[in-house]
Amino acid sequence: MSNTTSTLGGITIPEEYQYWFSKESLWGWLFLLPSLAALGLISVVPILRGIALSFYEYGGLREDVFVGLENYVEVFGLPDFWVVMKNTFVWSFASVVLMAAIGLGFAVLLNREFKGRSVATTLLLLPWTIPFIAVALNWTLLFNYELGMFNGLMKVLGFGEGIPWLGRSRYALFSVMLAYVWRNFPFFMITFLAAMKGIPQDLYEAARVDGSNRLDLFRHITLPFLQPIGVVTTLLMSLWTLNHFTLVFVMTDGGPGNSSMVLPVYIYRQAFMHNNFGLAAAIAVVMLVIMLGYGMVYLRLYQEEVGGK
Amino acid sequence: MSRILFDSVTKVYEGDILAVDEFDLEIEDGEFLTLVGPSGSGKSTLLRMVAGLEEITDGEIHIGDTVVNRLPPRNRDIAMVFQNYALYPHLNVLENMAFGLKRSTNLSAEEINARVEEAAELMGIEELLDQKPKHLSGGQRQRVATGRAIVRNPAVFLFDEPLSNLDAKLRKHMRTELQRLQQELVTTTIYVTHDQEEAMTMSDRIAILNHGELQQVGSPREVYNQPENTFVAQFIGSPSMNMFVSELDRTGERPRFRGDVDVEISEREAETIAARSDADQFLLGIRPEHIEVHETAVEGSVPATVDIIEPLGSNDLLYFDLEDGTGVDDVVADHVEIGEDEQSDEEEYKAFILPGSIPNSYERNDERIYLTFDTDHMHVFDPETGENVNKGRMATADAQAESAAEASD
Repeated sequence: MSNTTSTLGGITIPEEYQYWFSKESLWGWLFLLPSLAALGLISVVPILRGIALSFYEYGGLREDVFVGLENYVEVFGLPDFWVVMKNTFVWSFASVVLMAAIGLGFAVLLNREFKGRSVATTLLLLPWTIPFIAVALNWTLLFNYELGMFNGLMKVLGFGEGIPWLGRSRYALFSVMLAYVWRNFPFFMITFLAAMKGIPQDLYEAARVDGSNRLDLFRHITLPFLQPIGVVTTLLMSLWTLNHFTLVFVMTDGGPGNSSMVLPVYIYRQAFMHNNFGLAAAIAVVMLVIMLGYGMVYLRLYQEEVGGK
Repeated sequence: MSRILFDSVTKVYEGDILAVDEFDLEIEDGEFLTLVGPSGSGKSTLLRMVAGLEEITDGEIHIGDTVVNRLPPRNRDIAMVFQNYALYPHLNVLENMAFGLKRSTNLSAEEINARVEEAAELMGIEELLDQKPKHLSGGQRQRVATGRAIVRNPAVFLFDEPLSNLDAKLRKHMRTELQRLQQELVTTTIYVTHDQEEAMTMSDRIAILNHGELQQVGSPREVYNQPENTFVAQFIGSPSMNMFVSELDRTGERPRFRGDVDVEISEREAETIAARSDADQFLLGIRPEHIEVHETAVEGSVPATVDIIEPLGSNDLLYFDLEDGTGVDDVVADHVEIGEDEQSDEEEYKAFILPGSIPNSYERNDERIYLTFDTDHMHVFDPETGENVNKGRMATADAQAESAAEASD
């Protein structure tokens, strides 16, 4: 450090910034440059382009017209938009809660000694390995009114003729959610299971000697240990769920009506079905702001729960 | 009452691993009993069976008048201190100590706080009550773990190597502190350790285990002075007892041992030994403090050479080699344990000497020395069984000496 130059083109660099211009530092930047360039090209540029687009009316072959905040005014005025917002939050909140609960339940079961535990773990992990598009097509079949397994089961068990799972507004979002939860609960299961393996056994023993029953052990030893990883994974999964496009798009395309419409699919429809690129960009910006909010909370909690300790 | 009774308690782990074999022991109310033995001896398993953390394969454990075999830990009125303390990391010291009271009693929050404060004061940790365990030092954690046990005022304390994670100095300090605490609370205590010194200094009685079998129970003095077999003889006491190989020779005018050690014994002793064993060769156990080291040959002395000398402060420990010593391993039967100290093939013989009493020998190896042995404190072990065949003789010798001393007073 001391033998590097302390001036750059005649400008004296304050000591605390000298490291930035040291040889090591420059080499570091040099190595980062290719990936930074690629990232900028495929990620930063489109985002900036999208933000810019949200202030224009898309002209197609003609010139785009600058319209200021008009797109935003229109977005917030759309009755559809608020339905979609509501759907999106219901969808991301409820499915994450369901996934976390089911994942936790299976983690508790898999954390106990029993014959065939590793087989059970593998089987339960399988959904996580299936591509969303395959999940979507399979579950669409399962939900089929005439031929689907669910209605078949209902008939056999005497629950009437079955339900139009994907075909009625009341059930559509919930049905897609079922498929999504099935696909993603192993993520929670496996992270919770890993966290449980890290809990020292003597804590359970101490708590048992201290007068705890099973429920006490779960509440006062297991849960506190799962909390940090639980908070972080829940938030991460919320983010992914807000973003999720495939299942809704393939299974219902947001229908019937807008009853299962979520933001990513809505943006797609506005842009590519209705050619409202400006409007779609404005919605995307709104979504970006929401996601950034989530992301900031995530980083904050991550530092508190995991990084800081 | 909190007497504890082990009635032929057996523990077999999965895969037919016998951890504890028909263990019988009665622990008096208020007694401090230490279970000591090398790792794998079954001492922790026994403790965990008392706690209810391990199923009892066979036999019964009574706490007070209750058979506790089928009771869950929470119904046994016990408190346990774990080797790694097992403090709840997400709770502060106060909450850690209150945890058991909240679960096992109907005390109000104020009463619980009062009891925690009282126990914290006793352990000297009042200042730490709002700290989380991760901010505490090892010694402080140990105190909190002990405080968490005493605050519940249980019928029985169980300690599972509670001091083994502390440095030597702190360990000694906590040792006396735990002793003082137990004397104050007079609660029946089972204390597990692999450290014979801890066992010697703290206990009312020591139970020595090896391979799941009880070797001997007795006061620290008893097990030190009258070890029932070679295992106890070598396990208790540091440095451990010397074992010499000698033959009992009754052909001469007076019976004597010949071999590594050459000593005369009385006819009566020879008879006692012969009555209890038909072996020819014996192991003679003599503790380092019962060997006298001379620079020149004296009557009945055995020649030896200096190996090394360890200065210990108040006295020095001299390691010596015998001229033509017979290896103990050549003599003892395979199943006879001569203690965990036996790490090398070569015998290590030790004697205490006064510092500087062998001039120059700090630098020079192979210096010739001459040893005499205090036969009053000599143990004779059968190499086939490992049993002490003259146990008790020494006690009578002691008693005689004592009564003689009294008479002369």
